[in-house]
Amino acid sequence: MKTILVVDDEPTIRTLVSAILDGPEMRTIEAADGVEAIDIARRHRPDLVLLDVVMPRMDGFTACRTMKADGVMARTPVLLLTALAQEPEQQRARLAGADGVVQKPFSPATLRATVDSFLNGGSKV
Amino acid sequence: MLRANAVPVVAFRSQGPPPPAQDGQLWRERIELVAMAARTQALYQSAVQVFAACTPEELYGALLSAVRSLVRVDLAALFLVRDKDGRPVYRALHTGRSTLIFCADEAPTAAFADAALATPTRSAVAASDTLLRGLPPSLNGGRCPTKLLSVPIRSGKDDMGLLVAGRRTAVPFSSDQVDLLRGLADQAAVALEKLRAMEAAAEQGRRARELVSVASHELRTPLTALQGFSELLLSQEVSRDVQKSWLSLINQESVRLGSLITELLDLTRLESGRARLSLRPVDLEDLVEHVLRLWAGNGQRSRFSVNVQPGVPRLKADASKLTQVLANLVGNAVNYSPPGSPISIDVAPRCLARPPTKHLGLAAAGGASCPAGASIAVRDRGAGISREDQARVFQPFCRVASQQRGGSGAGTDAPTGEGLGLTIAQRLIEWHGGVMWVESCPGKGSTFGFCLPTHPPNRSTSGTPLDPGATA
Repeated sequence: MKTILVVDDEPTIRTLVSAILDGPEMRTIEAADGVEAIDIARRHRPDLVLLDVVMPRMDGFTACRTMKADGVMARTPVLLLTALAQEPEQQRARLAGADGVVQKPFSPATLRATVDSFLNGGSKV
Repeated sequence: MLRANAVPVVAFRSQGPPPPAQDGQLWRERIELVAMAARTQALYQSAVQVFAACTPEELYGALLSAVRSLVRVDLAALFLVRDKDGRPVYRALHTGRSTLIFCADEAPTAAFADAALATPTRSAVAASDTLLRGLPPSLNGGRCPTKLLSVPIRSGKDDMGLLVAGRRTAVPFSSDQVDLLRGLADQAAVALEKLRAMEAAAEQGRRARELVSVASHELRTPLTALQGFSELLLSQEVSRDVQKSWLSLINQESVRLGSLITELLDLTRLESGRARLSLRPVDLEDLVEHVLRLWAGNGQRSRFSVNVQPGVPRLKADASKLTQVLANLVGNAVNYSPPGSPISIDVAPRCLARPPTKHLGLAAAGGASCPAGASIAVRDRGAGISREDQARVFQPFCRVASQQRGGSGAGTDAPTGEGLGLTIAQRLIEWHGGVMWVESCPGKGSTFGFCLPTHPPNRSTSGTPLDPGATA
């Protein structure tokens, strides 16, 4: 059973991602902002983190950098869920150390496939 | 003062032999006239350079080198009234070799700016010793000027700054030099106004681009929910309950998408200056009661206490726009404070903000004072907003931490997206010539208020109506 941490300040998006991923092989846990995400990630050691970018308290880029700088969490794949389509944002995602980017809006099938590939040793963007 | 019409033009142009001794008066006037022509020529040349400047840096450089070469001084400096409290800020200094441009918060120059401010600005004056001592020696080769001359840069009644010339000899400044510096200060005023208009236009463009970028981000969130849940429903069998909950989320996000688009159109009209107010006398007490009726239906009316101070004037305003603003503030107070907790609404014939509360947008308006003919304040007992978030809540789609903003006990499921409500409210109040403000202390609740003039400025009534249907 793999654990996925879903971080988004929009409850609807967290519900959606959980609905897409929850199943016999995966379970999801949730956080509403970057600060909460880091706290939960430290305690629950998820196998993968899906991280929204624009959030209160701490944005996704900062949360990603913090996780990648942490000895325990550094190797956990982090996928940024971003509604910011522009190239500079993709660049910032790479600089923050993200392993991948999922563009909003996304199709459930695409999200499931992307998460699967990273859980099975997917490559960096 | 030299009178140009005292001498016939033909005398100035004649190239005859030197005049006899008894024409000494005429000769002196000819010399003065030639000097004046040269000065006018020089001022013209500097004006060409000053008005050609497209950036503040170019303008400061052109102005200061004109001061140095025309007024023939060792040092030239420029102060602009730019900071939030309307004090002059040291922007540029020409010491002989080069022009130095400073940022607004350049620390070593603060004392100099203070000293310059202490000198009278109404007329050209020789500056005081304080001003001389305040000048950072490092900027002047270690040598202080012994004579300083300072003239105000003014546009109408508006003090824009100071132009300062300094020399290292004790020789007093001539009236020609004073006139030249005044001429340059007049040019500076016009050129600065031009630059400010250019900056304002650029700012409007930047705001529009930012709005498009932020809006496209905001629209993607409900779209994600719509696409995601509808595809899930199409691709897999789920129980009737799950189906119903997903469909209700789809419905909720569709409604949100719709109101988001309406708000965006409203804001775009306001940003582009195409909005128009339909003005008539408005009684603020009636306005408050009208807005509170919106909450009467669900038994919330008892939460509100209304306190109207005596002497509140009837304002010339757009009642439907003010209703929109007040409904937004009351709605936020209801949504972001514990259920049933008291909400008070104050109406007064004066500004209700307590110093040092900053009025949004006043600094941008050139340090003007609060226009309060009347003001309204809505106070809640919610969780309050941290100081750094207070200015941000008026930005489009600003999100502040739900722990700080939310007090409804819904925890992290409380709505955190502010949407465009406060942004639109602020623009509507600005459009009335008024200002908005917020006072808040985390843990103690928030007060959102606005101050309005008795009459809005003329510009507000030109343009096209915000919503043609509603103004009829």
